[in-house]
Order: sequence, then structure tokens, then C-alpha cells
Amino acid sequence: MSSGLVLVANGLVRRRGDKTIIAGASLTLKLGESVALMGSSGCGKTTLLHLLGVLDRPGAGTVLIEGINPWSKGRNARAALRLRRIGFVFQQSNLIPFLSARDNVALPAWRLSGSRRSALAQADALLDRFGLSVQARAPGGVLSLGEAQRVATARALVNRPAIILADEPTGSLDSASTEAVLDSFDEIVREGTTLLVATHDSRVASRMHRMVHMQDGALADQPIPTTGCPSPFTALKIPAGRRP
Amino acid sequence: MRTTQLSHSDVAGERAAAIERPGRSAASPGLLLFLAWKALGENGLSLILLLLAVAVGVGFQIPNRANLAGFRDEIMRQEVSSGLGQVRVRPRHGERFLDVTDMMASIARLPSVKAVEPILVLPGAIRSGGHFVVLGITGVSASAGQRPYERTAGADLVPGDNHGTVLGERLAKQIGVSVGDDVDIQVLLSTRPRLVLDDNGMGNYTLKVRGLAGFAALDSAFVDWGFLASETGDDHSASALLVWARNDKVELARKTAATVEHLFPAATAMSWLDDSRYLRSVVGAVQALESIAGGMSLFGVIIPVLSLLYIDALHRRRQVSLLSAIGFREREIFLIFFAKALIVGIVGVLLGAAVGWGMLGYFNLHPIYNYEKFVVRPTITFGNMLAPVLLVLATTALAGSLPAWQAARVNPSDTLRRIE
Repeated sequence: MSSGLVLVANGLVRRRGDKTIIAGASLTLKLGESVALMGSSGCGKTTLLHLLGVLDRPGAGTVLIEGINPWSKGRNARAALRLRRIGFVFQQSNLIPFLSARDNVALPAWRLSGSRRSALAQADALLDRFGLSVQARAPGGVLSLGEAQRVATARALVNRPAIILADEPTGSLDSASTEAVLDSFDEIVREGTTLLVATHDSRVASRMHRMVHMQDGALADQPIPTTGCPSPFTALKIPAGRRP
Repeated sequence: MRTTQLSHSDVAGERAAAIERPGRSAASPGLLLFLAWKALGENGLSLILLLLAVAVGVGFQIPNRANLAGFRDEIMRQEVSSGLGQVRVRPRHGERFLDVTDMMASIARLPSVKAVEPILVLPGAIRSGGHFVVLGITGVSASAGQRPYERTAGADLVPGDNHGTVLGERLAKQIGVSVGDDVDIQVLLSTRPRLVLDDNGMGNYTLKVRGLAGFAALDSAFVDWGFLASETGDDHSASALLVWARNDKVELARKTAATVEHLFPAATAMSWLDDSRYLRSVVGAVQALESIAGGMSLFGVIIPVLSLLYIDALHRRRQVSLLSAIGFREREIFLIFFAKALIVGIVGVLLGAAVGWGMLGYFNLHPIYNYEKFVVRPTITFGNMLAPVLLVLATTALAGSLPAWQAARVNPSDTLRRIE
């Protein structure tokens, strides 16, 4: 993208029944930027990630991924967009339990290229990079939570996506595992991948370039001065009457 | 942990390349099969139950179908191909044709006809020692290749044999005779006696038992048609003409019968199915049993397969959602689950076919019915093997398609929201 904007979300609204989960949220993410999406449990962080990751359709508003509006495309095009340009890391149960760690990582690459051999080569390289070579052949279901999260991070990276969306990736981890996962995130960002992490852990937020607060389905941006974001960029729209 | 630093210009170039990078629009079949296979292997008990359900369905269907076909074939053999033929031609008025020479020649020339033979049936009685049985005495052409009975012992009648008879096995046993014994036969020769007759127009003969007949002729007595017809005074008369068609198919028999009736308006011609209420009942009963047994075994397959795969699809909603988040299409998720059903179907029917084949061997050695020469052995044909296999395979695929469709319609956002 010549503008350097990886994701532009504008006026997103999502309702479930009578309840408004996301109330006009807007957010812009730049290339190589890491952003912490903070907020209390149930405030709508996961729903927003799903809207941004084209897993869920907004009731109103638009999402542009590298300038493409996925909801103007068909289902197959949206699946292709998730395959090529978006990586997901969820809080837990991230892996296909009956596949080995390397097969889990290789899965998106195999789907994209059609070649198992090259996909496994990519997976091995990523697992090696994340220090998981020993666990490569272990089934996803037997890995520790920390290992599973790092394997999931490797899987999210394997097709070199534009953006990684992580939903409470350290929520179930101990301190050591949390550090390992955050180190892997640092590496991702250094390589220029955009990272949006939903968390309520301030340790995680402090490792990001900036922080966005979510409350009652609306967003408020808060730059974090200590991290030295290379190019902090805020494109924040708070619906009238909701600005804190 | 090893780290790799890339400059932002490197990243921008790589990113541009990534957007343009070519990729498959659809998942490779190998990937879908791999996922289906791995998923099946995850739960051994479920896999075993699925395979058992399919294998039992096929393993039951194959011998059942073959035995029913064997029963129908045995009936057909006894009553039609080794009995009265596929088409039976009788006089429209009166008891017999007075001269069937031209009629036989015309019918024999029809392309659908393999053989045509006369029979002459006259009321009579048979006696040996103190045993006396009233029955119809049947004259059959001794020179014909095709007989309305199947000989089981002794010799057959030969042309010009005025002193021999072939008796049904049960009749011979009833009057206490065997091959080589003499029997006394009385025949009511109608109103035109020619040879030695008593005052009541009866022909009395002492004949030697040449052979015994089984199957549908267990209670019959046969003599040479030429001899019997000449005794009536009409050397070429016949009660009926029996026509053997090229095959047992009722359509061919009906077509042949219609042609015969068209050629000879004074005759009625009927296919074996239309002529015999017994055969009609048997054929209908066999078809009904096949349908009922087939339906039961299909239900026996479809209910467990549908239930187990449905539960499996529910159990794997999160995995399905992960695949969706990764970028798998709905159609591909459907195909993964459908491939599981197909794998279960193929492996299950192969196991079932092996079991069914073994059971066919057993029933061949130990027939399910064996009484007075009526032996039901399984009819082993490619169709009898293939039909249950294809039917159960199709049923398994059908049963698997609903859970697969359900899996493909999982809403990933709803499922991933839940922590499991």
C-alpha cells in the first residue's frame, strides 16, 4: 500500500439482538505498527477483532484491508483475504489437536500453495525461529499453552500476512510463556507486520507502539510514549457523546 | 530464539510480492483428504463404530441379496427353463390343437425363440402293486432337446419308445417303483380310440420306468408324445406348445406371446409370469423381501453414520472455525467432512464385502434351503455384489453430507467467541 495503511475501519456497528456490542468504532492501522486493544471483559474486543478480521460482518460501517472492502466481495474472496493477508491468534484452543505442530503451522501455506513439501519447509523454518523445533512433531493437543500460542503465532505468520489479530494471546499463560509469546510478537513487528492485540494485561500493552481503549463498544486512543512507536498514527473516531 | 531484522524497505518489497503472490484458488484434494484422514484417526472408537455400521450393512446385504436371487433363480429354473418354458401356447377353444406341425415351425422361426415343443396331457392313472394314483399323463417329444422336466436318475425317453416312461421322483416313491420297474398306466384317450381300448375308451399300458425326474415334475408321469398322440388318433395333436425364449426376461416372453397370438388367432399365448399365479407371487415376494431387507440394512447404516458424523461435526465446531479463520472456504470444509464419510464408506464396504464374500462361500456349502431337490444356493453375480456395495456407499455419503453441510455452515465468529 502506498499510503502505508493496512487496515481502515470506519464507523463499525455490531448488534446482537437488542444489544449493541460495537457502537461506531473506527480504527486505522499502519504498516509495521503494533497496537494494544484494551478493555474489560465483555466490552467488545473479540467482536471488534472478528469484524476487522472479516470473520463477522458489521451491521454498519466499513472495513478496508489494504484498500479492499471484503464485504463487497464474495465468500470465497473473503476466505482468500483471510488466507493471504490476515493472521489470527486466539486465546486458547488455537491448534488443530490431531495435527502435529508443524502440520498446524504448514496448514495455511499448504492451502495457499498446494504444495505440502514447501509448506512444511516454511513451517520448519518458522518453528526453528520460535525455538520450537523439538516440539515440531508433537500433536497440537499435547503442547503446553505457551508452546501452543507460539505455534499459533508461527501459523499466523506462515503466509506472511499484512496484519495479525491476536485475541488475549497471553490470557492463559504464565509469566515465562507470556514473555516468549511477546518476544515473538516483537519479532513480527520488527519485520513489518502490523499487529493488533486485544488484551487487558498492561504488560502486553506496554510492549505495543500504542494502545486503544475500548469501553461499551467504543474506542479511545492512547499513545504509549515509552515504546517509541516508529510512526504513531491515530485515526480515531469516537461517536458523539461517547468521547471520554 | 533466533531473530531476523529486516529493514522497512525490505518489508515493503516483500509485502508487495506477497499481495501479488500466486496461490491456489481452491484447496488441493490432497490437503482435504489429509485433514479428513487425520480427523478420522483422532477418535478410534468412533471410527470403529462407523466402519462396523457400514461393514455390517454390506456384509448383511450381499448374502441376503444373493440368497434371494438364488431362491428366485431356482424357482425359475424349475418352473420355467427346466419346466414349461417362457411362453405357453394353448388353443383358444377346445382341449387341444389337432395338428401343431405348421404352428411349431412358424414359432421356431421367431428370432426370440430358442425351442418350441408340444405336450399332450391326458387324464389317467398309474398303478404298481397295491398303489394307485390318479394324475395327468403327459406326452413330451422324445426327440426334443428341451424337456419340461429335469431328469435326476436313469435314462430319458427316446423317439419311438412305446414302452417307456419317466416318472417324478415323489410319484415313483409313492407307488414304490424305481428305474427298470414296470408300471401300469391307464389313459383316457377321448372319443377317438385307435388301438387297444376297453369299453370306456381307456388305453391300458404296461410301461418300464426309464428314468426319474425332479424339480417341478416330482409328481408327474411322462411318455413319448408321438406314441401318446398316435394313441388318440391325431398323430400331431397337442394340448399346448411350450416355447423357450432366448432368456427369462418377462418382457421378451410377453413380446413373443403377442407375436404368436398375432400369427395364430386361434391360440392364446401367455408369458410365464402371466400364466402362473404361483410364479407371480414368488417374484413379487422376492422383490418385496429384497426391498424390505435392503431398506432395513440401509437404515442400519444411515442412522449410526448420520448420528456419529453429526456428533463429530458438533464436536469440531471450533476446529472448523479455525479453518475458516485460516482461510478455508465453506465448500472446502464441507468437502473435508464429506471426504470423511467417503473414507468410512469405502473402507467399510471393502470390509463388508470381504465378510459378505465369506458368507457367500458358507451358504454355498451349506444352503439355507435344501429339501426334495429344491436347493437354494446364493446366486453370485457381479451385480449382486456391486449393488449392495454401491447402495451402502451412496447411503454413507448421503448420511455424511448432512453433517458436512452443517459443519460448513458453522459461524466462526460465534464459535471462536466461546472458550472451550
